[in-house]
Amino acid sequence: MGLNTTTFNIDELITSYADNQITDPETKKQIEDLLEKDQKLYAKYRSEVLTRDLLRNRLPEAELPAATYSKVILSIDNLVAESKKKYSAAGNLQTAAAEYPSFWQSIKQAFTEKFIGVPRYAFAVLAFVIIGGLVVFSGGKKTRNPYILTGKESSIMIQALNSFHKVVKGEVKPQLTSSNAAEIEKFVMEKAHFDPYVPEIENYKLAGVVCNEYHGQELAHIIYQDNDGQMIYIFQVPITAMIKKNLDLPEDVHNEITKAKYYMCDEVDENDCTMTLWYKDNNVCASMTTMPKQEMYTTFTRFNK
Amino acid sequence: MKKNNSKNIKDIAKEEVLSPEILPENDEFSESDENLAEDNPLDKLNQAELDARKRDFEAEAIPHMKLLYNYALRMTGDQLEADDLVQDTFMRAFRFFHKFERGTNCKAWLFRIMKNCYINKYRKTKKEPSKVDYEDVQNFYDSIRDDVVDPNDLEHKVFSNLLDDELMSALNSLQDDYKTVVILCDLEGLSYEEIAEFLDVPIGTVRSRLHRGRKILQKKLQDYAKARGYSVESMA
Repeated sequence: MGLNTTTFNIDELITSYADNQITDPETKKQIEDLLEKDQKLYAKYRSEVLTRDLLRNRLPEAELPAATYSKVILSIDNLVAESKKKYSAAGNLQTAAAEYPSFWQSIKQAFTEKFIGVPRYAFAVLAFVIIGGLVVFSGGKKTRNPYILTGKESSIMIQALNSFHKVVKGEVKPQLTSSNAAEIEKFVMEKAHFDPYVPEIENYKLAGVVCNEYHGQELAHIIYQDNDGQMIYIFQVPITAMIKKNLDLPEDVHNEITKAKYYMCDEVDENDCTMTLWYKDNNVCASMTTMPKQEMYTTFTRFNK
Repeated sequence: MKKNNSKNIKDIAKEEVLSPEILPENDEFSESDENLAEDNPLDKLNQAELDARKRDFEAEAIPHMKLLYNYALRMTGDQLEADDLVQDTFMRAFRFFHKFERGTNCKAWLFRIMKNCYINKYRKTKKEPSKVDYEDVQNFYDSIRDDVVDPNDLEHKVFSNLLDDELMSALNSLQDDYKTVVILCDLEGLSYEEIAEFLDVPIGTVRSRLHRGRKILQKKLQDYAKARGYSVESMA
């Protein structure tokens, strides 16, 4: 280093002085005397103050995005819920171990003694019949997504799926027909009071938008179409809807979105539609399309940058 | 600052030598996600204990999210990465909240977790811009002329014409140790004492890093000004 250690550390004390961090009056006075006498030191001091003020004034504090806050709160809720589940499962296992015979003993008992007469096996048989029925009912086609199969009405996945079907069947018509993203944004801001995400999608044109409510929660449905009439539908709702518990997502899906930035699944209905869920800005987005998963993945990664 | 009224300023300066700090590579918060999944301390709590932890955490830790977000944003320079960093920090903090001593500084505790998350996860994968070496800057400041009358008006004019992007880029050119103290002091407005507690280093180290960090910034900003056609010779 060019300067000796003593001079070097006096420069650092000038830093403390510039930041008003020197509490000892005598030291402060000594620094002030030095600054008065030494023009070079004074120049360094002024330069330091200038740099600090420049940073303070030009890089002001950023507001915490509502989506960041919501995601943290949701993740904590999910951690608590998961642990509660594990805790009760562990408790149940302990109880079960005390009350019931071992697995192999149960099997032996089930096949050598009464089968349907034992309630827990009766439940297993009933579940098997129901699942079998569902498979037969769906034409024996591919398995449907478990979160959709078991989802409640308040699930964002179910909401997106149902709304998409209504749009496809023509039961729901766009309230605003427009290919202009700014117009769509303005419409959603006015009708649903949140800022939607209206991406440009290659080979697709904006067709329109619908806004509605679910139990007081305002939603937006944005529709895109290509030249062949194939559709990409995007359901949107502010993330805060999940904090308020107006709508929800399965824990695993939320965790996957958090980890991988999106969750994508196909075979969500009898038409093998593809669903993609992701968080964008302050919103939860759920898109539906008849496009195969791989094709949707390519499209999604292009428009959602 | 050490209280030492009878000593000369040069003696005080000599005493507060630099203490090079090496960040701990591993500590209780830097466990891998796999380890956390296998042995999650939350799984040992019953429902009432979990609810109580959530309540306490929301009261103690959540109010500091904005400060941590701002720090994360400046460190990563990217909103999405900042978002991830905040989320990782709070998840880890929630899992290990039993290790937080009530009545101590929760902000500092969270900050240390964030620093470790950043080191472990983000810094490894992040493409870092080329860092400016303090030694170069030191030589540059050695050459400050004695006959300079007041370079600051000119410096002020030149600096105020710089773009915010150039300012961010200059900040990003700092090594993480320097960048951290500059962010905490100049952008977050924390005192040296608070920063020392956050980083678990002596106040002298905070001062030294801040001094060096700002010097590097000045040099970098002057380079930008030069590149944009401003004459900065008279500023040096």
